[in-house]
Amino acid sequence: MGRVNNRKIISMLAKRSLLASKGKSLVAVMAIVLTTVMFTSFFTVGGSLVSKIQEETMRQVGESAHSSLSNLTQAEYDILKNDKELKEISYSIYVGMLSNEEVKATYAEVAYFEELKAKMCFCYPDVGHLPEEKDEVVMSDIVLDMLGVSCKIGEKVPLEITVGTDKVIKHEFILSGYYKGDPISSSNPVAVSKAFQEENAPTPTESILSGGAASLDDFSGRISASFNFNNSLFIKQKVKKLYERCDFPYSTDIDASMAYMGSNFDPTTIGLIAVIILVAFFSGYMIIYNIFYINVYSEVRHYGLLKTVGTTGKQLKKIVKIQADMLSVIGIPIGLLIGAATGKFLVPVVMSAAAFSESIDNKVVLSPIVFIGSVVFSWLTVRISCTKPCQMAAAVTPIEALRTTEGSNVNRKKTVKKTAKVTPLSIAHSNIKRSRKRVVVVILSLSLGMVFLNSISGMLNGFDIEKYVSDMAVTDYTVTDYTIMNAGITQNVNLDSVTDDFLKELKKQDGVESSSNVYALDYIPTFTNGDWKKIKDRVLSSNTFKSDPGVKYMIETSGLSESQFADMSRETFNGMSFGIGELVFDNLEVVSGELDWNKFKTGKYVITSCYRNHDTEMTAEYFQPGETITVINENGKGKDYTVMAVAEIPSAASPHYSTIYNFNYILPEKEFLGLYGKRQPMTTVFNVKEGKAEEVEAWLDTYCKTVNNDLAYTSRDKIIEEFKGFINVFNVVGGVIVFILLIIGILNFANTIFTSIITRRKELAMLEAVGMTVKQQKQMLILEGGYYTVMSGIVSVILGGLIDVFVIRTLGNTLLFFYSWHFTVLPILICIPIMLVISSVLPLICFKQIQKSTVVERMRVEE
Amino acid sequence: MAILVAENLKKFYGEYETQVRALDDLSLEVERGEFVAIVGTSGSGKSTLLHMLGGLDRPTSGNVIIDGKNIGELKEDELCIFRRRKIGFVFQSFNLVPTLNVYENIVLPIQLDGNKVDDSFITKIINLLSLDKKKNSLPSQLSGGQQQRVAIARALASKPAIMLADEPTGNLDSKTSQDVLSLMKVCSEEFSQTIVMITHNEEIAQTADRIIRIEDGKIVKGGE
Repeated sequence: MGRVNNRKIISMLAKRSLLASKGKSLVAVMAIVLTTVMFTSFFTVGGSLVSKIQEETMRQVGESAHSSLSNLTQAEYDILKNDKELKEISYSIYVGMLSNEEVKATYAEVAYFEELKAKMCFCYPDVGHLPEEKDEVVMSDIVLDMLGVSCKIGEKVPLEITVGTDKVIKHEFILSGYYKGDPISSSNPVAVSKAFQEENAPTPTESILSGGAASLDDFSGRISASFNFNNSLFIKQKVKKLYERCDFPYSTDIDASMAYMGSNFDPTTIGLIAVIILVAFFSGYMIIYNIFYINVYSEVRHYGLLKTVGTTGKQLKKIVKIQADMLSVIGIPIGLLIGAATGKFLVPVVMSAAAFSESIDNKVVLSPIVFIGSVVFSWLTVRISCTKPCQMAAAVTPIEALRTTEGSNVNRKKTVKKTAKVTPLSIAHSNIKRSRKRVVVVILSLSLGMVFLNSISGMLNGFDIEKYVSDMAVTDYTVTDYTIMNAGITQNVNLDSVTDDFLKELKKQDGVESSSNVYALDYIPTFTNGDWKKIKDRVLSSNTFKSDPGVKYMIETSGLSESQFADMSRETFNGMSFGIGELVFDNLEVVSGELDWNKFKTGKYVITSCYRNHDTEMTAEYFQPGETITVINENGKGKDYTVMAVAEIPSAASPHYSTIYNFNYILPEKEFLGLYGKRQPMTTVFNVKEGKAEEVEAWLDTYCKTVNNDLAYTSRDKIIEEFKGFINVFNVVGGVIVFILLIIGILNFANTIFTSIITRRKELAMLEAVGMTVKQQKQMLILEGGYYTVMSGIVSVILGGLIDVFVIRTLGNTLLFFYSWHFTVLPILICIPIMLVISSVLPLICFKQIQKSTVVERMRVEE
Repeated sequence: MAILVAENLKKFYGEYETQVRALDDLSLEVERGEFVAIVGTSGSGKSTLLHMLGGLDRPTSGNVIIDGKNIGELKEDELCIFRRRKIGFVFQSFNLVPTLNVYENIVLPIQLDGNKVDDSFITKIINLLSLDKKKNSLPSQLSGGQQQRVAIARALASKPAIMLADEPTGNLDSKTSQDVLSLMKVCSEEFSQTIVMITHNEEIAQTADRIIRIEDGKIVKGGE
């Protein structure tokens, strides 16, 4: 039996019956639109966030290529260049570091750049051109500004370049172009000409890829290649294969640009994405399934008839599938548009809560992948949803079809029915029971929205502004370096930031009530043997330490045994030393011991930190209050102190980066400066007198913007605002999701009620004929609607309550440090009366419609 | 040669004391080109018989052989395809697809089979049944008699081995019933179409070449 060519008639049948029941088709299209809206807006927001993260990382790293390989010889570069899998490749040749006194603080690499490489490294000139003549140079406006050279083509730029370990070249260049420097970037490349590079840093021929003999301090003349693959998926694997093909030594830390995620999604993110996709899928599934189920059921006669005239089950399935596709063709594009608009609205809201540098814009990024993904997911949802209805249509037998009305094939064998009073309630009850599956679907659909609403409010409910503010701000104002203030910056953080000039100016402000400094030093402390033994025994050998997932990973990758690892830690133990004043002292988070400022400021005491397991939050103390330890500075000079307490520095007064395990000393300011030598504070905190806040803030704002723009400040008010913004994100995003879910639920409910009334037109007329009054009929229908609501309410309260207790509490406590959980099902309880009103009004509207024709007319209706 | 053979057909519903024997060991044969009427009172089992003959339902035991094929051996979808090729149905309630027009309804079985429509043959049927002016109308725009003629045309369109008609005039007034019947008679002669018609109306049964009477699931007259 060869291929039967009947597509045309099948799609005609599908199309005609869609057009014949426009109302039903409209509901189906709406359901598809809503499902697509959810997917599209989610993918738009997600896609935008990913691309912003990529952009930010690229700019921080200073490179946009998929991967790069440094320190190549010309021969090695040629091998790489000829690889067929690479879409594009370009290179730069390293010359040296810019070492003019004025630019010491920045990282400015001098190199020859090919055009594409310059673009990849964000140093292609916005004005002018890349160096061609030997003396020409291109650099960023930031570096030019530091050098005191104005941004004008042709300006003379005297530069000092350190080549290799100690050779310094002084040369006067001519500016041939400049680019806009990026404040969040860690590098500010300086581009010189090929001729300059060849003269001062010729490319060596000896390979150092496999850690060869060449001096590891001198990379001058080495080629740095950057390359892109056809797409950014599985970059690590691609790079690994590339190295194998080129016969380059493969190292475990392949330089796949951090900007391209894929391998580094963490489980929480993946879990969250999965939950959202599942929610969207389920709500879509439930309504689309129900609509198709109802449609197939109400057209069972139609399908039976088609079957008698010879339509096969397969063809009937195809008819339903084609209908689904036709509806998708209308619904999905509309959903895409609305979803993209919703996404556009949501992106800035979500971005405002994510820790992005201020210079990253919050415009929505609409990529084709987002749309393709949304289309695929929506279409899959539609197709999966109509699988069951398809099977149902296929299984229709001609005979059944000629007599079926809904519910007549319900298996009633087991119910021994007592003769009871017939009331609207009892009839309503038995009507509901006609199709249990559908009831379940509608109830779940209605519950989903309410449960989600409850979970969002449960989350919001737990947001504790007190907790948040007390952690984020110890005083009214906090001033520190912008690299510390900006949580997005984790490299080259400046701990030596608050200038004497600022402190002098601050003293002049008469609105300032009290102020305090925090000094900080990041170093690897040394310990006396006795002290180290305590650290090792109490912490490094404890289960609290060894069970930490981060520690476990470190031990595994180090290849050392646990005790070897502990010994090794003595040389690599990260530590910080803080010197603090009274304001910060009062806000220390005490783990054990007692704080006493008067005792502390005598300089005989030290406060030490403890170790905290990242997973269980259990703590282990390095030292105990009362013990005497020796604090040794970075030059090996030590002094004995008594441990006053074990405490942690509040996050408002600490830099925003951390390591898996570290050790902190906290000393009074004076002692700190005495031990570690003179330096500038990392942070200054101060309170202002009542009524003076505006005045002080105006001064502070001007100072941080014009006088010293390395400094940044935050205020308690700003933090409260930030907190409100955070709540706002939950409100808006949660609101949109809840709104869509509730609409889907109600639509599903309305569709079910409407069709059930319309298909029972004749039956209702019959009831009316034998004496059921219109009032009683209405009562019955309202009760049917109410049944759905009450059941949904019960399901929601149980489900919502369980989720609140088991999911929301854990989620809030682990993700948010400022979370205090309270049990709630109140939102559901508030929803129920509203739903009750809706569920009684909808059936009445529909009933009114069918009441327009007389009983006799309705009874005559041929189905 | 018999184009339709039913051997020892049995169809029982229910069990034990409530068992209903809709068909009780019934056998019959219909020759090619014959117009047979099956008569019986309501509940005699005549509709059940027709369902068995048309492969719409399966017998409890016994065989139905159409054009040499034992349809009991066919799988569900094979049976469906067999039906659209070999059997034309006419029902009391017309059963036209409401969303398709007259012409589309008529050629539906052919198109479902993916075959090219034999237009001259269809035109001939349409003309014979005086439907040429209604070709593009929807079923809802037709009278009962017209609808039933469309159903007859549809049953004839695929040149089936056998046409099964279940009370084809049950929903029609007596004048229209006569028209429809004479058209069926004409078709039977014109195209040598084998027709098996079910009716409870003796008068209508007179149109047929042979009358089979069944009672309580058994043939009481006209079996051979």
